[in-house]
Amino acid sequence: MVDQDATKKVRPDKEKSRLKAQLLKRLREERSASVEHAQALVKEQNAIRRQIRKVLKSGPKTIPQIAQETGLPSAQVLWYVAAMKRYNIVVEGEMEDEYYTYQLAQEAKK
Amino acid sequence: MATDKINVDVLVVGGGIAGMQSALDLADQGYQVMLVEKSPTIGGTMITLSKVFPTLDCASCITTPKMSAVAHHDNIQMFTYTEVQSVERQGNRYIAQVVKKPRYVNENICTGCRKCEYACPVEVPSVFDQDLGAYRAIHVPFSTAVPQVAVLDMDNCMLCGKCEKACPVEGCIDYEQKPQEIEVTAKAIVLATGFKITPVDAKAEYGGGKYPNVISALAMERLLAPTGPYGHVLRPSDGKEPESIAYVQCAGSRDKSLGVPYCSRICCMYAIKQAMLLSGALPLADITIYYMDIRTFGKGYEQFYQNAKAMGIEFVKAKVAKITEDENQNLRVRVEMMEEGGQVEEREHDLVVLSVGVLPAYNPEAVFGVPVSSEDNFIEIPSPNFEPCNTGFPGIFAAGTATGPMDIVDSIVMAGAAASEATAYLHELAAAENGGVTHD
Repeated sequence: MVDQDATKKVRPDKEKSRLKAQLLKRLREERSASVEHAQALVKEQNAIRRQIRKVLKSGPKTIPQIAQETGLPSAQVLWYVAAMKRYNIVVEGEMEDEYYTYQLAQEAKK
Repeated sequence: MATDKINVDVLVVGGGIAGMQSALDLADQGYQVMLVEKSPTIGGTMITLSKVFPTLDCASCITTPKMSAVAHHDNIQMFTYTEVQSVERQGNRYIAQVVKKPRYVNENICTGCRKCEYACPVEVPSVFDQDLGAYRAIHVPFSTAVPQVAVLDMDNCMLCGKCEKACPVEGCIDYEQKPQEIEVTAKAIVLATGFKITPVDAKAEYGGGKYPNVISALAMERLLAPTGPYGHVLRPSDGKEPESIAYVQCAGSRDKSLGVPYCSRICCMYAIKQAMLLSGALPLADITIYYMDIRTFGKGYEQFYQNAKAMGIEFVKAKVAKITEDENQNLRVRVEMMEEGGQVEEREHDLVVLSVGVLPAYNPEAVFGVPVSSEDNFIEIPSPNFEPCNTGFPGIFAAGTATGPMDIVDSIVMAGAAASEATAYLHELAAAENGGVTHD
């Protein structure tokens, strides 16, 4: 049995988290160019992932089916779905002709 | 900034298969070695491969134990994400200034648990997967990376603090980490800086970089690997399991228009290997290799080629002139059939693999003073038949693809030879320094 407590972080007190927040704020100002770039990227990526999730709520789909329903290029859909699979957000399902289907991990568990 | 100082016998530059093998061969003989690698992990190109020819052994199964041996060897100090900035000769020593780039993660306490990676909201193309897949801005480069330590891509970080909150180790994520300067004193240097592949878009007429289904052979290695981006061989345009795959040989080699007149040596064999692996992964797929000549130079290689032919892989002696894409993202390959009187044909494939060539990854002249050949830009070896690893500079040796295109077997042999030439040099140096006596 692994000692669960051993890996738990000692909860930082309020002063510590205040200092950390201050540090992040200062660094965000110093590195504003890359931070703004990353923020824009995340915004775009979140929007695309939301679209893909929405389409997958109605059941397992192939990459061309997701592309058609979202209007996104199929190569881009594959890139996102591959990443979502890597981080256990979607799982692979049965094959439909020459294409694998993908579904949301939470739907697959049901 | 305080500069750390390290004193070793040999500085090995490059943590691919050649650098690792040289470091291990030197360290096993009791020499103190510092190995520097510019990437966040050692393993080089070999760790990205699916299998190796002609044995079809799993590449990771051979490379991972060597990576681990390097990391745990008492006589090796391994520095990843580190580059050599300058080298100066003082007496019989080389003084190298090296810089360890910030990972923004404390390497000594990171456990490689990847909780930071799961918490990070930014996705970036995975270099390890040849951009076909993605990982997060903070990530462990791949599952068997050595060291098993995360690295934060600060160019794509929005400093949201989520990774730090998820990290179970207090003080591990360090957004303010600075480059670390190290001064290395070494008696000898082994250059094992490796190769890079011809850029996939080097030949515009092949459509690489423009058509998603025209990929490099290294990208195909990732598709074939069980840890690959899709988990299967699928074409990047739409995730279709390909039914017809073509290889274009000499896509970047033996091509004066690209300034690469030489043969890259490994492409025939890796294409045959991949074709065999594809026949296993996709038994119904048609696989065609368009080639000028098949060059099977090593032991067991010709038999490997004959086996591939017997498996039904189609070898077509033809020169590919042009590749275009149709509305379904299938590729139309225009070929000149060399054995049918130069007749021109157009053939359709789902996926085209460019058998890209081998280019030098690094020119050591500015930092190490070691020149490259004016013919091919690889490290110049003045007497290749007599001392195949000697650069002509006292105590500087070279191994692997830094000296020219070669396969894994030859890289390992040359790495051993470089270690051997280096130990002979160190032995003579020690004798000279202990009274000016050499033992000949």
